[in-house]
Amino acid sequence: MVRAELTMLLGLVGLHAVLLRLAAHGRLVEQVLGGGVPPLGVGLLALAFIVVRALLVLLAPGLAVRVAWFGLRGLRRGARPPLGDAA
Amino acid sequence: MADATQARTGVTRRWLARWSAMLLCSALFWPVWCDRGSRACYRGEPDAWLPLARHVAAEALSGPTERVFNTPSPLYESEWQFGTYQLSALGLGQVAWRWPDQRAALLPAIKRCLEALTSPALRRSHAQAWGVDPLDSLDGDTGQVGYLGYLSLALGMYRLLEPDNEFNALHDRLIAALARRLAAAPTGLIETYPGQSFPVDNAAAIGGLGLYDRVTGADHGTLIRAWVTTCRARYIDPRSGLFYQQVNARNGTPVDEARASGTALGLYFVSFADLCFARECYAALRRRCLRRPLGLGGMREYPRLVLLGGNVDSGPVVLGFGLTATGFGLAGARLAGDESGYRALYRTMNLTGCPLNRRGQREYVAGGAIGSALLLAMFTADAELGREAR
Repeated sequence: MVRAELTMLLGLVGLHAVLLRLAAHGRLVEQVLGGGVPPLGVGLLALAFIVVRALLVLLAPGLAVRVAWFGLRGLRRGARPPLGDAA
Repeated sequence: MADATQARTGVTRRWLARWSAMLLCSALFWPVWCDRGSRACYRGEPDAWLPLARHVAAEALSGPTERVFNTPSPLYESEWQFGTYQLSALGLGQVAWRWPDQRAALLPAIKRCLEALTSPALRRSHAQAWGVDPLDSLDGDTGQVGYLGYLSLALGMYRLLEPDNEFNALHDRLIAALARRLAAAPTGLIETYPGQSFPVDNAAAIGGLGLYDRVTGADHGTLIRAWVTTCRARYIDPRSGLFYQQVNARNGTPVDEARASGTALGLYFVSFADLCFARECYAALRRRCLRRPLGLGGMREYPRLVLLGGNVDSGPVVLGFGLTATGFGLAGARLAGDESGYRALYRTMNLTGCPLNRRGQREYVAGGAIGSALLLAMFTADAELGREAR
């Protein structure tokens, strides 16, 4: 459970970082905001950046909280000695 | 059967609870995260201003005169190119004025902006619209305030920092032309394009006169006071207190609604000539348009609710909030000393502008060159550069 969420969180953050730099380099969002029809590649990359940014904004904090919550719970369970040993 | 229905309901409830919790986390997290640096930016601390100023300066020095914005028409393309250099010059000028030790680093970039603004490439669209080049027509009576008004502010800012410069003669002639045309205009407004008058463009001309008076000791106080009186009476919507976006060039009646983007930019320009009037406009803007959902701040483009829309002036309008009006609103908030409003708008710009820090520079990727220039000018708007109309 926590592994899937951690993967999604890291994937989103990493993909966002890469697309942010690409967008800055190619002025992608600026070309879309201009209102004209951008070249296909530019439009697709800008769209990908906007979608990933929106997903990051909507999901990343919640994912981080869930990863932290389940992670801590897992660590606590892992640290507790098995019942047999305690006996 | 009943068990299956109950199970489905349970799954749906868990799914709804999970997603609600996720969205709640976002709503709590982002306003706090995006608030970082807002206080320092409001107070004008160098660490908050200089990285963005460095980026805007680097863009001005290295970028082409004619940038590509992919707007739907050559006219808008030209306006965005012009706006990028004009706002860059004002923003960099405000930083250099606040931090004199940065002047040596920033002045070359401001000078480059002026060279671009006065280049034939950026005069072309106005020359085509009027049939005469704006700088060749200074002794005549054509309008062209969309070019001359904005340029007068950039020239004034450069002269404030560098009193003896090669643009002074042009600045003197340009101000004389604007003052003469404003005094002669029956509606109190100079046309931007033939048959089209925009109060916000005339606010730039008035601001240009105020800045000129400050740097040269000239006195256009009578003209400025008369314009402000006319503007209050005719070009501000009495219900909302906002500038009409466009008025009829012949009789001055409104042909577009009162809108936040024009008001927020207009009050910034007019602050260079009449700070009290600018603050009065911001008070109306704050009352009618500034909203703070979920800890963020946004300016509604229209006093009435418009869910979706927008044009080349307002940028995208989503749920009534205009992106451009929100950015321009920062200047009014700082000029009026509204720290909480400024910081709320700052948070929104940090969230939607996609800031990227690298190599000691900060840029706002979502807005590109024009967005970064705009935000620098608005973040650093300074009441000490404003004047009380004498």
